[in-house]
Amino acid sequence: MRSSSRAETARLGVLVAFAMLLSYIEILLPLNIPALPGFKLGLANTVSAAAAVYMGLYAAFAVTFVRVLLTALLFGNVQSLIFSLSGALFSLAALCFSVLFLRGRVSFAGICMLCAAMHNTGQIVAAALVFSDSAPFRFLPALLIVSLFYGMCTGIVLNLSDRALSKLLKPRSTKNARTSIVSGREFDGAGGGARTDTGPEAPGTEHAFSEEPELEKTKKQGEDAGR
Amino acid sequence: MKRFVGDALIAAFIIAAAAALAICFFAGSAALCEADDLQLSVLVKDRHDSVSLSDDSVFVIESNGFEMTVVVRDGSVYVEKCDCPDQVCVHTKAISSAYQSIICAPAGIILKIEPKGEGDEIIVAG
Repeated sequence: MRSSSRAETARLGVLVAFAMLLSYIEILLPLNIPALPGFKLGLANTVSAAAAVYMGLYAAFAVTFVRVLLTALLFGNVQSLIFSLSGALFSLAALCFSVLFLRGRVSFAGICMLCAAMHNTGQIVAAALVFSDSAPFRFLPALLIVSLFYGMCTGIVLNLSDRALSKLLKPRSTKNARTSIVSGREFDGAGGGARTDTGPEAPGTEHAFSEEPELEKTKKQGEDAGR
Repeated sequence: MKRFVGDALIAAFIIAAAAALAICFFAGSAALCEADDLQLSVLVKDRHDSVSLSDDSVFVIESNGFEMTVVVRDGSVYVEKCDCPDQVCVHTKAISSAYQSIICAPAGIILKIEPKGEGDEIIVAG
């Protein structure tokens, strides 16, 4: 296994562990809102959002599914697995939409608000399917408003942590510039230089929210050099 | 700045969706505010029972190995105690309006207030 693959695997492992820790903290928090039974903050989804932006969609999918499976095995049951999986799938769909179609147009706050709303929607859909009744949908309006608030808070925290997370999670060996998801400016720091052979890039491994995809920049530089 | 505009648009979209859903779900239930017009539907797996809200009652439901004690008092319904692990149903506030519900996922029980005539024939369980 190449050193870059080992490093990426290690990063994914750390992200999974951190996401599981956040899930466990959520279970311990006495967050009982009478009008919103079973509401959770969805802190672990912020890890998936960070993985999607800095490491690509494949990394986000890997972190999310491993985290959901392990959390359900350790702390939950089959029913909690169904609800978590449904929320995770909807949240990942929102992540994919954000990464692929909202490049340069939203910050982490927007991504986290969308993912939180879709996560709760997914759990409500799962509850409706499990119970074969539409009663759970009546909690959705209030859930969407509360998830908007918590998604905004977690997104702001990620925005403020953008520079540090970029240094920690972006592979040092690629020549993709680290671009702030908030300001769009490039960071100074380690990185750059010759790219090591890491195989074909997964979609979104260039910074998902840079103004211009890195591959197109490389092509333009090549064309300019050739003239 | 462009990104913050995008964030604001996403927030506005979610608020609009929540408002639209709220109008769809709750617009029709505003007129049904008298307890005499409503009944409590108890859904347990594939069984559907109805309880009158006009008379105070206390009854116990068993499902999936869990026991839930439900209290009907003054047209309101709440779960007094349940031995499910997460206690979400116990912490849910009392329901009294049409289409409000209390759900216990581990036990697989839904308590839902509906207009009379929408569920099965009314029986008093206790």
